[in-house]
Amino acid sequence: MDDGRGDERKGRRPHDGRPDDGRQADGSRSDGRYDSGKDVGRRPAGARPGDEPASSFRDAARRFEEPSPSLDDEWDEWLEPDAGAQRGEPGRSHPPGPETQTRAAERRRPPAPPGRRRRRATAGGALAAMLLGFFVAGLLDAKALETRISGEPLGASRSVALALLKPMTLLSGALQLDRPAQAIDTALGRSGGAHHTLAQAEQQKPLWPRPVTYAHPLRMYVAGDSMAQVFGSSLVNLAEKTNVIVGKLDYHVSTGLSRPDFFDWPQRLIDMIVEQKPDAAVMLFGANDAQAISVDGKVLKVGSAGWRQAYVQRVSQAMDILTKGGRRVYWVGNPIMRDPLYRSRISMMDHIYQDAARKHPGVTYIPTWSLFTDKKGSYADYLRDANGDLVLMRASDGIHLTRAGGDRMAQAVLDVIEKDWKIPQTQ
Amino acid sequence: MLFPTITFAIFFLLVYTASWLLMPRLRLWKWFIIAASYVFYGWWDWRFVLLLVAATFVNQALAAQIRRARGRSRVARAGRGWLIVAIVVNLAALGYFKYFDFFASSLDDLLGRFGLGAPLPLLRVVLPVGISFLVFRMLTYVVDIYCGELEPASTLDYGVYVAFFPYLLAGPIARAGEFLPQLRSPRDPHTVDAGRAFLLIIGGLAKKMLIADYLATHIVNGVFSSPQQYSSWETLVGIVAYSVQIYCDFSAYSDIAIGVALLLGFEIPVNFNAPYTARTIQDFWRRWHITLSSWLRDYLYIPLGGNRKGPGRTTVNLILTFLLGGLWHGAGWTFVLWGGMHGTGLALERRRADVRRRRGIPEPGATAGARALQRLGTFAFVTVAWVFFRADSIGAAFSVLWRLVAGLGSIGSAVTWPVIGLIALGIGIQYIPEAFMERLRLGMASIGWAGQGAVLAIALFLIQTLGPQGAAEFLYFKF
Repeated sequence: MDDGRGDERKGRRPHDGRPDDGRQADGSRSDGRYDSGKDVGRRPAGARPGDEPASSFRDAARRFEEPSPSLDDEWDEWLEPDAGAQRGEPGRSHPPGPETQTRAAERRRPPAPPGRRRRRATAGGALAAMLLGFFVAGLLDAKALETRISGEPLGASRSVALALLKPMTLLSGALQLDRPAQAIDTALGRSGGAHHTLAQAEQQKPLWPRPVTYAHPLRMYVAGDSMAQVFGSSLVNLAEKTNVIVGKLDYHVSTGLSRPDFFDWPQRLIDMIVEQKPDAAVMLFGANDAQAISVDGKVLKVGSAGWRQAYVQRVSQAMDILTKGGRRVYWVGNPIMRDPLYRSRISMMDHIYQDAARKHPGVTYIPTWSLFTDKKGSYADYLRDANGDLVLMRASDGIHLTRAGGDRMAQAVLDVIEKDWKIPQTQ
Repeated sequence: MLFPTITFAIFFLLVYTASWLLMPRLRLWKWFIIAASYVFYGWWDWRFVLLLVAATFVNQALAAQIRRARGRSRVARAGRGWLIVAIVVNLAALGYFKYFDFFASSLDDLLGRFGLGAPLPLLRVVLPVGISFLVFRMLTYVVDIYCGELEPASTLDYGVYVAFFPYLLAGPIARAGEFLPQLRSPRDPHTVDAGRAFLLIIGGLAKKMLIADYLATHIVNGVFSSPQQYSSWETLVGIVAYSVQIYCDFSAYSDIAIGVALLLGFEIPVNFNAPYTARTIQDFWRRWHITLSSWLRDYLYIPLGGNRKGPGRTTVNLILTFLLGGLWHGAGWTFVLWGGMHGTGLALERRRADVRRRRGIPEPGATAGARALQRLGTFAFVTVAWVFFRADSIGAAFSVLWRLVAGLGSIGSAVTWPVIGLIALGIGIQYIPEAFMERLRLGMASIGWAGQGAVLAIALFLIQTLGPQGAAEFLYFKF
């Protein structure tokens, strides 16, 4: 909610000309020992009104001190409230914020009646309220907190947080305080819903090659992590311009193939195959996958042999699901990244995708690494587009793409798809 | 560190407790709050902290020079040279971090048209979060000292002003003259305005997590990234939803910042006052991002001559002020165009009012219906301007607007009841009478810590359960 609209405070201008009687804005009196934040804009002690240089800033300031009708008129012109703005609505009390309070309006305003004073709290009381609030909210929501923390990368801080949360979850369950959250989830239809099975997905038998026309378009399903957000929407936009492809973008931020406990992509792919009946699937993963994988309770560190084996297996599983029934799959590699360590990990994953694609008939690996390198083969934020203009391709994090970057990557992927389906090339 | 996260909640509980314990020893408290603010800011990138340290010492040194020059001399404009140095240094920092690449690539495009090569290297400078806000706050300090409005503060006080974490990332732009006096004596631990603070924080979280984030993911992002997939109706609802989203996002940040500062005993200025109830563009700018618009007025529009130099010059000043105000939001032509639209709109409004006054035509808005039409018209103008603010490029903005007429037909699946409901809610809360809000604040303040704790618990629980998983960044971080 907007607040402070009618909150009585002095105007924020340096001088508002009101006598200062030591009264607090809420009508209480300061005990003199402390300052309670009501001296906003008070004139500094050492300022001398007589000897300021004349300047336009000075003129501006002087206007606050010397109210004159003509200057007031002038102020009305831009940001000062004109009297008319409030005149029109007698029934609606909507005083502007302190910044825009006119002197006249302030003079008109009656002093706050003593009964309407806001009670102030002590610092300790406010702390007690916050602790109570956080604790009870934590109890009511322990389950969701646990789920959220479980989704963090495997490691010490996750384990500590989960251990600290354990008593909360137990207490919450014992007192049945987790009921309201369950009720809300059920009411919002978040309790998961029915999933489809791999057998159902297998029944879909997309035909390839086949002529694609406006009447029988190529149904393209695009999935991935946050990298797929811009890329995927660019791809869908460009593809739909051919009039023979319809696209469906399905990206989920912070997800990947490393952590099915956080987001179950294999299940998601099965569900989407059954529901969307795509002829082709475009996948872009990897940005969040450079993290430890847990297999049967054992935590495998990124880059280790065990990790590599587990990750290859997850990629293969996704490819198996997608190619069931003869679907064409275009597995998109990641572009070069700015950070050297991250870059090497992404490169490692790109190699895994490339190898896996070779072993899965129907899967085409599309590299995009060098689409985003400069002449020397290094990372570049700005690259020349088709018109020869220098364009910003990457987001400030050195990972994600700008719209221009997404378009560049999408065009490369679309070229492959068009060739594969014998669609006349668009450029 | 983001406000709506568990990390921040833990950080704040620790800082809050330590802050009030140290408050009686004000000097120690100042060191502490600087350290805490540096941790808060350095959470993204520790190098950003160096910027705060540099901003503190450089501006403090320049302020001392300005004060010295003013003190010795009775000549008008004494210290002007140092003031110019200060302005140039601050704007250069902003320019380097924010606009260098925009400038270099624009220059390259221009020269490319004449077949010339790239003259400047593109540095891709990492933008420190909230630097636009920081620079504008720095300027209030040196300018107010030059004008004799303010005495230079001690370096310690100034360090607190530079880094104070509630407003550090996205405003409100608290002026030096408003904040520094609050550092003179310890805040009173017996008069914490907790009721108002809690309401601000709860309201801010709800606006951000329940309204802004939902609209962003369910319609706005789609309409702006793939306009051709949406019908005319979806596009219309999508751009209105963006108006609501940006209000609920940005005002939420301001409200939480004000609430957090209040809990620590500090007042920082209000930033929003029901902007979509405005009946004119001028009125809108009194209600939207108030600390920015009043900054532009006092530190740009008036020094340019304001409206004292004739109608022609006033028009130029208005448009120039808003073009620069637009550019302040980001290095891109979309922002310049957005500012230009508002500047031109304001100038036209002024001209029309002048003509009406000369001819003796009464001011519009005499009837309730006329006022409603004025509100609708202002909202429509602001909403169309937001399309340019949101779009990736001017071309993209036009393709969104083009969909309003090109996608006629069925309504489309993106227009859902929750979307419509949240748009109505986001606008409706701005029409809540102030008297009601004040009653709410009085009520919240009177229920004591246990009652406040219970309200906090229920509100946090509902926001967390009803809201999407994970917090998205606030929009205004980019600026």
